[in-house]
Order: sequence, then structure tokens, then C-alpha cells
Amino acid sequence: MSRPSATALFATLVLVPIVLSAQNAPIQSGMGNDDTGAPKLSLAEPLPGEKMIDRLKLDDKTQAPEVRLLLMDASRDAAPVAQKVLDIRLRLGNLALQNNLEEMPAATEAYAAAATEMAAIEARAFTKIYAMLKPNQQPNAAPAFAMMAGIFQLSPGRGRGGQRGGGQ
Amino acid sequence: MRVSLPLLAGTMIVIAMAATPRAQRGGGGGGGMPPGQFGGFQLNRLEILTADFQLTKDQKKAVKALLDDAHKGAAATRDALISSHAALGAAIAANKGQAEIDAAVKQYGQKAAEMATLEMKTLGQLVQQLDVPQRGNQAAVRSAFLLMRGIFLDAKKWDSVPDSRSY
Repeated sequence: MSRPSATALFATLVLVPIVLSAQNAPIQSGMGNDDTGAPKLSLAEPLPGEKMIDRLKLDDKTQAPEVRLLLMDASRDAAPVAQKVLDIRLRLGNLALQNNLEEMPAATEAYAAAATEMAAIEARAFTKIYAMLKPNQQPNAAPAFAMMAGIFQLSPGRGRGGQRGGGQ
Repeated sequence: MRVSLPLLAGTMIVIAMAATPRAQRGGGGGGGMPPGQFGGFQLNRLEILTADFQLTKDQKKAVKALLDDAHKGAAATRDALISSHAALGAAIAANKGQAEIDAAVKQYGQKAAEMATLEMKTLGQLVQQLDVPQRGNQAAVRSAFLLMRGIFLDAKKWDSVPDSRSY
């Protein structure tokens, strides 16, 4: 049996810990290094659209890409509505902080109108998705639609998994 | 070929240097740890509120009691929200007419608004329990605002690590 060379031994001893160390380092996209207030995505939790695709057991090559495109289109349509929902939510929050209960019903009504617009976008998207399903996939439609609730909202809580920006 | 002592010593130093950043990252909560995490653990809602507002023991107890009650009180709103969303899904799956789908959409929008109002009213009550300097902590108030979204969606508990559930 031949002895290992000093170079090989050195490479093994030095490179292995470096590689192991890199595997434990946090994955950083560069986003979220500063608290910009933007949502921080948790890598631990799949996106709701992906969860829905899994739940429906869509075909990876044919159905899933089409659903992703469909969700992207719907998301574009939903963006201004999502902003409206968030603005009204802020208004509701400010009224609550000021203990101004008199003006809350009007804000609630405005929220209902915006949430209805958003739900209509979700419903249109889901109608198209449902039309793509094979009969054996249709029984999963109800739980998949439940996952779609608020999917296009600018939800700062979505996927953040407790990573908070406040108080820092 | 024999491995020399200086080479072995040099190797050990490099190994130690490579291992050091991992050891430094092990410190809980500080350094590069994301806010809301401590030693790799994610914080639940009460822990986040406690940290953000620097709640005292009594305040923490009061906030917990407030949110426990609000969670109980939210049951009917939550059930109505979930069932109206399910009804909308069922209408789509049953290929109902547009008028019926529109009605289900509207019904759901109203329930969503009720839930949002309830969450925001609870936020107002929560902040009212705090001292003036705590209320003036804009970052913590903003954090609490964000934290309230979907706080009552889980029928079992509100005090969990915030997840992607929404409405």
C-alpha cells in the first residue's frame, strides 16, 4: 500500500472543513441584508403556488408550467388590487390605533369591495386551473383552492416564518 | 514521503481558521442571526411581540390574555370566512353560472373584511395596553400590524410561528 503524498494530505485536511463550513453557511440572496421592510422569504416553506401544484398532483412537464404562467398573469392583474387591500388595511389599523371606531365601518366596507375584487381574480385563475385538471385530479381541487386564499395579497406575513423586521 | 511537523502545524492552523466562522455563528440571536430568530429557532407571535415591545412580565400576561380572548371571539368570523371560501371553490368546481360565482365572491369579500377589521381592532386594544414609550416605538407597532394578518386563522391557537396562511 502506497503512502499518501503530503500535498494530498494537506488538500484533504484543509479543503474538507472549508467545504463543510460552506454547507452550513446561511444562503443569502443579497436581499434582506438591510431591513427594507420587504417581506423576507423563508426557504423552509414552499410558495403557496407550489404547494397548490403539489396538492393537485399536476404533471411536472405539461400542467405545472402552464399553471405557473397562469398564476403569474393573475398575479400581475392582482398587483394594484393587492396594494389597495394593503392601503385599506393600513387605514383600518390606524383607525384602530386612534380608537376611532366611528370611521371603521366605512373602511370595512371599502376593504370588502377590494377583497371582493381580489377574490374575483383568484376565482378566475382557479376556474382556468380547474379546467385543466384530469378527472383523477379533481378531488384535490377543494384543498388546493383553500391554499389559494390570499395567494396574490401583498402579505408581509407570508412565508416569513417569524422573521420580524420590527423592533430592531 | 514523510509529513513534516511544520506542515502538519500549518494544516492545523488553517483547519482552525476554517472552523471559526461556524463557531461564531452559533451565538444565539446576535451577530448575523435574522431578527425573530434565536439560535436558529423561529419565534412565535407572543415571543415576537415581547421582544419588539420589550414587554414586562405583567404586560406579556395581559397581551396573552387579550389575544386568547380575541382568538376565542374570532371563531365565528373564522368559520364564516373559511366556509365562504370553500363555497366559492365548490361553485367553481360545480361549473355554476357566473352570477352564482359572483355572489360567492362577494360573500367571501365581506367575510374577509370582517376578519381584517377584527384583527385591526385587536391590534388597537393590544397597543392600548402598552406604555406611552412602547406605543411610540414605530418599528414595533409596524411589526405588530404585520403580525396580526391571519392571526386567527388557526382554529387551535394564535400563538404560533407566523406562516403563509392568508385570506
